[in-house]
Amino acid sequence: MSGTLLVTRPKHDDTTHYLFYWAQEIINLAKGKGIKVLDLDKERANKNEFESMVAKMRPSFIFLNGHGGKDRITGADNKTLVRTGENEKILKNKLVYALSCSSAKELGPASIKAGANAYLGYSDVFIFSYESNKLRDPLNDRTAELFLGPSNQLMISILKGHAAKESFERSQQCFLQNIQKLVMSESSDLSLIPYILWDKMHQVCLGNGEIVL
Amino acid sequence: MSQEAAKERFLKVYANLPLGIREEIILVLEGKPITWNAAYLEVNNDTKNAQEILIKLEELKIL
Amino acid sequence: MKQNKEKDKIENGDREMRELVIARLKTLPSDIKLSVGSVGDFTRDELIEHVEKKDELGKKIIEVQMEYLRMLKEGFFYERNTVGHEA
Repeated sequence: MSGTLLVTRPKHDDTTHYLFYWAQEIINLAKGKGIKVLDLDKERANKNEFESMVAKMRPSFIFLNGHGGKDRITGADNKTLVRTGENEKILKNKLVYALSCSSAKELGPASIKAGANAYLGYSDVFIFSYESNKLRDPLNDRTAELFLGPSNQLMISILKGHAAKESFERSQQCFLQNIQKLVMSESSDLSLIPYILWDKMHQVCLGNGEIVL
Repeated sequence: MSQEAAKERFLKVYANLPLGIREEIILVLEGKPITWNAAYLEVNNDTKNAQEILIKLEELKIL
Repeated sequence: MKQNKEKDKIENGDREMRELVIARLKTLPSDIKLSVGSVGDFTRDELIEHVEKKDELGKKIIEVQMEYLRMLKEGFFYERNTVGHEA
C-alpha cells in the first residue's frame, strides 16, 4: 500500500463543523508520521475533486467525513461523493473509513464487491452529542469526545500500522470505556449512554480485516 | 412468563446493573416515571403494582 | 373484532414506548445538542417534540432508546477490555 491518505471533510453545518475539526487531529497525526495527506476540505469535498484526486494520486487510505445514507456518502452541501451503482469502483484497492450515516449498509458491501480492501463505517445513523457553547472550540468539547474519540481511535490505530479489524476492535473498546467512565461518574451524562452504545453497535468492519496501511 | 419467573428475572437483571444505571427511568406507570430502584422496591415486596410493572417490562422486552 | 383488539394492543404499546422515551429524554441536559446524521442537530426539547409527533426522527430516537433498554439485561457494561486504548 502506498501510504497516502485522502480525507474529505466538508464544513457546512454543526455536524460537519465538528467532524472537520476532529479530522484535523487525524491529519496532523498522519503528517507527523510522514504520511502524505490529500485534504479535500470545505467546498473541495466535492465529487469532481474527489474522483480526480483518487484517479491521479491513488491514495491507499480514504477517510470520508460527512453525511450520507445507506447507498451514499456526501460532501460539501450534502452533494453525493460516492454512491452505489454510480462510482463505488473508485474505492477499489482502498482501505476506507466512512464517518457518515448508514453507508456500511449498502455502499460498504458494494465497495467490497467492487474491490475495496476494507470498509469501516456505520450501518445506521451515526449520532453524537455536543455542547452548544463549544461550537467555537470543538476539540475541547468533552461531550463530543465521548463519540468522536472512539471514531478517531479507529483512524489512529490504522495510522499506527494496526490491521483494519484490530483497529475496529480498539475503537469498539474505546466506546465501551467511555460508557464505563460515564457509569462510574456522578454526572447526569448517563443519559448519553444509549447514543454511545448505538454507535458502537452499528460500527462495522467489512472486507479484509488483516489489511494494514 | 409466570409472575414468579418474571420476578426472578427482574431481580437477576437488577442485581447486575451498575449502581448509577439503577436510577434511570424504565417505565411510566399511571403517567408517572418509574426507575429501576422504584420498580425493585415494588417487585421485591410483591406490592399491588408489582405485577403490572413486570408485565409491562416484559411487553417492552426490557426483561 | 380480533383485529381491532390487536390494533389497540399495538397502539397502546407504541404509546407506552413514547411516554417512556419522553420521560427519559427529559433527563438529557438542556445545554447539549444531539447530531442525528443527515437529519440534523436537535436540543432535548426538539427531540421530545419529534417523538410526540411520531415522525421519522421521533421513531429513530425511540429505536435508539429501546435498543439500549433491551440491551441492559445482556450486561454489556461488563464486556472484557481485551485491546488497549492508544493515545
